[in-house]
Amino acid sequence: MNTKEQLLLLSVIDILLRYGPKAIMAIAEAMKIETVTADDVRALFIDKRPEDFFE
Amino acid sequence: MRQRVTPLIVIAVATIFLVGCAVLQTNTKSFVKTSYQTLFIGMETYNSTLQALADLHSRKLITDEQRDKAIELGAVYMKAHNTAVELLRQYVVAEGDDAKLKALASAAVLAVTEGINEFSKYAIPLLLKDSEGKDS
Repeated sequence: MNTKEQLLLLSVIDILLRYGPKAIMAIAEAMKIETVTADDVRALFIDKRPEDFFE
Repeated sequence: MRQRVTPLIVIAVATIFLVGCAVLQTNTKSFVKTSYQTLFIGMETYNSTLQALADLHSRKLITDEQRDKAIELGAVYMKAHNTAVELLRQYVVAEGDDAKLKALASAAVLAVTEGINEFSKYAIPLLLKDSEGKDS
């Protein structure tokens, strides 16, 4: 494995450790919901466009 | 390395499972709850995946072409997701008393699954492939 590949590997591990568990925790919380209101559903709107992540 | 990608794969599998449950639900409360959970997972998948890809792109570890493809698929997902959210919201406001809305919301949630599948199908292998250095 060369230096570039090692850097890539470390970056991916870093990113997944940072974002993966956070998403899983949020989902685990959402699984506990008993009654869903219109406001709960409204909160699911995605207003961040894909290109906004890359700015 | 594959173990590190497990959270994202778990999310994708959970989405497929939940949408299957949502479609099979006849009880209104269960339908709304399962659809909500499906859309929540979709939203988290969308956010996590794009954040991860943006991070890789900022480190110049994915190409502009790969970024553009992710943006394209992400936009398709976002549109399907927001449509499903609006239909489900209307259904909840109607207090589960509208069969037509339920059918539309079901179809929209199905479309969301299709969107997140397409998105994940592109993004997850990209992370796996890059992490194994096969692209370089």
